[in-house]
Amino acid sequence: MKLIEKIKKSNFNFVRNGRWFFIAPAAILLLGIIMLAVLGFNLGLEFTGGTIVSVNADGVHSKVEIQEKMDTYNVKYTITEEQNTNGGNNYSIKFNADANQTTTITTELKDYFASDWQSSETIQASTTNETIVSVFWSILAALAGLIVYMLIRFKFTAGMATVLALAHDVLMICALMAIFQIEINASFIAAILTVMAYSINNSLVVFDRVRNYEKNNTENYTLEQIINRSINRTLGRSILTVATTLVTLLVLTVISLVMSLSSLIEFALPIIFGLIAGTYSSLFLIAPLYKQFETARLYAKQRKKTISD
Amino acid sequence: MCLMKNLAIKYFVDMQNMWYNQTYMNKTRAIIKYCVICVIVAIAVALCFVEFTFPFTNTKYVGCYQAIKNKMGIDLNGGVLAVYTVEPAENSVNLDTEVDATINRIKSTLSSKGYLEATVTKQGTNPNYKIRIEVPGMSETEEIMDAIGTPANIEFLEPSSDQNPSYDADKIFLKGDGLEGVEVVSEAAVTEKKDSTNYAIKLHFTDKGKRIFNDKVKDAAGKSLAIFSNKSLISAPQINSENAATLGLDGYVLITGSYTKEGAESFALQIESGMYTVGLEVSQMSYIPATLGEGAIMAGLIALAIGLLLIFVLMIVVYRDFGLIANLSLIIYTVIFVFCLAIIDSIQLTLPGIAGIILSIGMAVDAYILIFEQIKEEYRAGKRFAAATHAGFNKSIVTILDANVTTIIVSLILYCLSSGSIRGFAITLALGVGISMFVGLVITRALAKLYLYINPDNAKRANIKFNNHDNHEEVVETKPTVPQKRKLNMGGAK
Repeated sequence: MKLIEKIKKSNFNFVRNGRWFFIAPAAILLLGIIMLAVLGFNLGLEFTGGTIVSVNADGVHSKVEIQEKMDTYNVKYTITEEQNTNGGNNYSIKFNADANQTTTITTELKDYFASDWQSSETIQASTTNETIVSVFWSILAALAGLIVYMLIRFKFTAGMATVLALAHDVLMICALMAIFQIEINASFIAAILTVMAYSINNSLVVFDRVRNYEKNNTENYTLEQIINRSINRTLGRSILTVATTLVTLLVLTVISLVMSLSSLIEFALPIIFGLIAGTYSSLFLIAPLYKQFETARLYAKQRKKTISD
Repeated sequence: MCLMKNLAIKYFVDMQNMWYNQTYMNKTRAIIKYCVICVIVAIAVALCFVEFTFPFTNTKYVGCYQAIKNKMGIDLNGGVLAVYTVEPAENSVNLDTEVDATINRIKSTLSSKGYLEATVTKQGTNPNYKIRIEVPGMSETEEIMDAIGTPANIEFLEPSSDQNPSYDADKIFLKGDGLEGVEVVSEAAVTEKKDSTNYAIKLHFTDKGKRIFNDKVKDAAGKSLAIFSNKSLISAPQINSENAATLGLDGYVLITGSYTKEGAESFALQIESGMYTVGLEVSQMSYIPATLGEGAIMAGLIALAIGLLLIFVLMIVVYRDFGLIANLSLIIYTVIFVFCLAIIDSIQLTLPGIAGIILSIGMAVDAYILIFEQIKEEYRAGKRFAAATHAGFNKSIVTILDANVTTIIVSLILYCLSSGSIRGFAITLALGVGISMFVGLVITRALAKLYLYINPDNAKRANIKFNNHDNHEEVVETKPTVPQKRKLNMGGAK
């Protein structure tokens, strides 16, 4: 309850302290780029194509043994434990190798697992570059739509700040995925879209306040005061909203961890990263960004006026 | 003057008494109404899970849960993914419409074969189109070939007396684009032969195809009409002498012969796949294993249930009575949403779709939070509880509309431009946000108004207190020392 009181009392200067809040994202981004250069993304089979071998998990070989066996092949692989249709557990070993190697590995594994062997399946990349490019373009088009809407309802500068905050959120997810080497699969695109929608929603609530205060600014508050007030007043709502959304996802992650369902963890983690990044940007980054844009806009306007005078 | 004043005072006192009586009367009624609403909601929730057969009829009611589970997309359920490269015909005029027509035909073929959940989408740009077909639940790549056939060009050659005509490109008078559809009918039902157990193939013509066809066959009684597919003869039915003159004018023509049901169906499929107006070349064909097993879906449901429960508790702790209203609205929202997901055919449950569901639940809760925070602010600005509640709803409309309309715009653009599971995400999100807006602005509002009959004046029951430490640079909000007596706006109650 003390925390709630504190949030209610909050009177933090988000604009003045703005520059400090760029440090953490910049550090994460830098680390992400380094990890990306060294290890790259951990791309799932949806992107690369490959082979899935299913074996009985309750059989002769332990996970560690399987790992040792797979290490001898010098291919990229993942081992996950999954529930099969009969209620028992399966290890699914996913690896990506060229055609010749795949045949060798599959035959060898078949001998190795003997009666625990269940099936092998070669899949092609279902998410191709083409899909990613088309998703990218449709995201850009959606963002254009967003800016047009914000241009009508708010100010262009607010739209700019929203899009930049959004870019920050997407970059943060990508960086964190690279840092923690979490497998990126088809649901990753969904995660990015979810976070985009969430980030827009968050930013809009703040800008709605800003618009309100700007309209009824009888006390001649400065822009800085208006922005700070808007964020401080919506702080309770921001925290409560992110809490309600995070709750479901955290529960999902915990359950998936307990049941060792890797695909669900890979689904939930990027969204959790994104939600945190989205809340962070709508609290700490929007204020200084909007302040800068507005100042620049007003300055340009002023100068134009002076020249024409 | 004095009389007027007295009369006015008497009038107001009367009004006030009337109002109090009404409140008293309405308090019981409001509670009863709440109980009725709760019962209805409980029944609706139950309807999501139960399955039963209607008495006296054979109609089976499948609960939403099962219905949605049946509609799982390729990523949850596994299935076959096929991508065809479109090869435009040489004399192609408008590739866009031709591709769309082909897609529609593939769709109808698949759904007539029972693959109701299949999605067929166009990818790429003119002239490099691809057609992507996803069939959830299909286990072999060969099945898709069986289902949509091996696409081939269908061509009708000018009638000749030759029983076994050879292919001659100059004699083609009608192609697949002159046909509208093919169906298999039992001969007994459509011809004079009532005792026939044979089947016939009914070709439906387009208006143009009808005329061209009739022109060619009306004088050709007794001759045979050769139908070629990929330059090989598939059939050369003889033209009946009795009705040659009017053949095709009704918009259809029957191909009869000693067809069995299977024979007729496979022939119909050949013709149907030949109707694709563009050539299709397989560029990718693969089986996609299910990303999530049964266990994962259970885990997701448990997580959703626990998550909702925690949200309920959180809302009650933070907003007390209003939290209860929010929870009731949230249940109503979830039920409406789930019913929509189950009913609307074009929505498939995909992994991104689940992300959309989680997000839209978050946004629904967000709407309640925005409203309640606004009410708090209005109350602190000096309004009485009931007035603050109304003002809170009114003022938060703009915020909620702006936040949700942008989301809907973004998801609709995504829906139009994307394919596959992203489409599923976009439509689920747009639907969820739309419903949450409706529930937040209409149902929650109505529930709150009803609540004011039960508790018109006690803000503490909604956990709204004055802020004693408003020490920011705020002047607008002043704490009234004496609660101002204002006419309570009871939202429609006079």
